[in-house]
Amino acid sequence: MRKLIAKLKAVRFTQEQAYALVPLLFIGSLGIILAVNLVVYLVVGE
Amino acid sequence: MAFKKKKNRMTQAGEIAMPADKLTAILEWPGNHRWIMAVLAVLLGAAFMLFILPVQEASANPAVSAGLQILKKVASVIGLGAIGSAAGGAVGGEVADFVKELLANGCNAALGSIMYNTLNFTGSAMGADGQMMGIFSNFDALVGPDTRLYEDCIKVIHGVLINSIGMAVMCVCLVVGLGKVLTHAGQTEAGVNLWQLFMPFIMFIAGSLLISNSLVLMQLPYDIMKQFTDAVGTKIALGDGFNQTAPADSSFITADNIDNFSTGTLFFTLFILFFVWLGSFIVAGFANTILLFRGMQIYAYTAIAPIAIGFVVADSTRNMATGFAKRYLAVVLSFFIMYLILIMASYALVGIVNFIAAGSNWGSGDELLGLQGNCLTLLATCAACGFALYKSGAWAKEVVGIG
Repeated sequence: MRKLIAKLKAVRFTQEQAYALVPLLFIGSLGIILAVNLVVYLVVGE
Repeated sequence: MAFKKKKNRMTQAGEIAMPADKLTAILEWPGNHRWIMAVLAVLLGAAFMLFILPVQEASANPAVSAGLQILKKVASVIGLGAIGSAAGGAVGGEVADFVKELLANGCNAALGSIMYNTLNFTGSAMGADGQMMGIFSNFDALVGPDTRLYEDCIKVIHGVLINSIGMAVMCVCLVVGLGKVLTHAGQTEAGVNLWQLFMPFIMFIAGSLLISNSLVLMQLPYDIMKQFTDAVGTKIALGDGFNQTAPADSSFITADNIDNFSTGTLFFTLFILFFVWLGSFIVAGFANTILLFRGMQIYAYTAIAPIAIGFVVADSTRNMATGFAKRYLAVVLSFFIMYLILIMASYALVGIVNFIAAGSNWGSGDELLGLQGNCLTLLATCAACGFALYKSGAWAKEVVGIG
C-alpha cells in the first residue's frame, strides 16, 4: 500500500491536466460506488 | 333589688356583663346534662329532616338551598358533638383510634409506594423478568414497545435525508475539496500529484457508501454495546438485583404493634414518609425520563446521520463528521454506563428496601427514628442514582475525549 501511494505521489500533473482529469475521476468514482452497491445488493439482497 | 341587679350587669361601654360564675355554670350545664343534649340534638336533626328538607326540595332558589345545606351540616356537627359528649368520651376514643388507624394505614401505603418507586427505578428499565425495556430493548424499540416509530418514521426520515440533504452536502464538500486541491496545483510549478487528486474522490466514494449504509452503521455500535450488556447480565445473574419485587405484604404497622406508637409519632412518620415518597417518585420518574431521553437521542442521531456523514468528504469539514461520530459513540457508551449504574442502584436500593421491610430496625420505643432514618437513606440512594444517570452522558463524553 505504501509503495502504491508512493508511486501515485510520484505522478504529478499541472493544473490544466488536473482539470482535465477531474471528470474522468468523478465518473470513475461513480462507477466504483455503483459496483460496490451492486455487490452489496447481490450478497445481502437489499 | 331587681333594679340593682340589672344595673350591675351594665358596664360603662354599654355591654352586657355576665358574672364569671354564671357563665361557667351555663357552660358546664351541657356537660352535666349530656343525655338531654343528645336528645335535643336528635330532636334538632329530626326537625331538620321533617320540616326543612321538604322545604329545601321545594325551594327553587339556589341560595336558600345552599343555606339549608350549611344549616344541616351545623346541625349534624352539633348533634355529633352532643352525642359524643353524652357518651362520656367513648365516641371521642373511637375517633382517636380511627385517626391513629388512618395514620398507620397512611404510613403503610407510603412505605409500600416508596418501595415500589425505588424498585421501579430499575424494574421499569430492566423489566420484571429481566426483559430489557426502553434503551435496553432492541434498536427498533428504544422509545416504547411500538416498533412503528422506528420502522415507519425514523427509517423514512433517514431515507429522505439520504437522497435530499446527505448527498447534496457530500457533493458540496467534494467541490470544496477539489477546489482546494486544484487551487494548490495552480500555486506551484510542481502542480499536484495523483494521490492528492485521488483523495477527494476516494473520500467521495467512502462518504457515499457510508451514507447509503448509515442506518446499519448507526445501529452497529448499539448492537455491539447490547452484546456487552447481555454478556454482563448473564455473568452476574440479573436475578440477584433486578428481579426483586416489592414485599407483597406492605402492612408494616399492624394491629399487633400499633399500640407501641403514639398518634403524634405516626403523624410525624407519615409527614417524613410523604417527602421520602415524593422524592422517590420524582427520582424514579426522572430515571425513566433519562432512559427514554437517551433512546430519543439515539433515534435523532440516526435520523440525521446522512447530513453529518456528508461532511466527511472535505478536509476542512471532516472534523464535523468525526465530532458527530464521537458524540454518537458517547451516547451509545452512556447506555452501557447507565446499565452499570442501574446494576449498582438495584443492589443498593433492594438492600435498603429489604432492610426496612424486615421491621426489626425501626428503632426502639415510640419514636420510629430507625424507620425514618432508613427511609431518608433510601431517598439519598435514589437521588444519587438519579444524578449518576443524569451524568452518565458527561462520563461517556469524557471516555471518548470530548468531555
